[in-house]
Amino acid sequence: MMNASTPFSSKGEGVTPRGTVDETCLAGAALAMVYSPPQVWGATYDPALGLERGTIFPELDKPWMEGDVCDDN
Amino acid sequence: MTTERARLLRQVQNHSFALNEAALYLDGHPDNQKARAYFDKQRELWKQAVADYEEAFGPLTQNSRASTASGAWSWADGPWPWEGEK
Repeated sequence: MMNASTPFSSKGEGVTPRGTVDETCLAGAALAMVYSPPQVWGATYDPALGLERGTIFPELDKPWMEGDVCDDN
Repeated sequence: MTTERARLLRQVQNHSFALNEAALYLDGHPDNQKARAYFDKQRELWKQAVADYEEAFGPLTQNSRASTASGAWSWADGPWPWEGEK
């Protein structure tokens, strides 16, 4: 039985998620853990646009809200 | 608020926001030189924007030099934030 409690053991044999598209890439990755790739500094919005969009990073300007990120109407 | 005052204030806000964003990135990547150069640049632009605003419309903060630049305490002279267009 796989040891579900090992979050990401050093030997990397933690829980291998079954049925994922690319199981090799997530080999050893524990379930229910959040993984966030490090952000690399790249292009930024002009400050005026950044304030409007709520971020100066295009890669973080997500369309979660219908319309603008700060859709206040 | 007059359009000129709103324009100058918006400039302060734009650069202030960019500074906050760059600082958030630098918190996680303190050695990133590009981010640091961006922060330094925005800080200069922010300082200039504050100076431009205060020269025309008085101090933005109580501890700003502009609050005593004329000699007298001028902090209370300007319109309060909630006071609309006269």
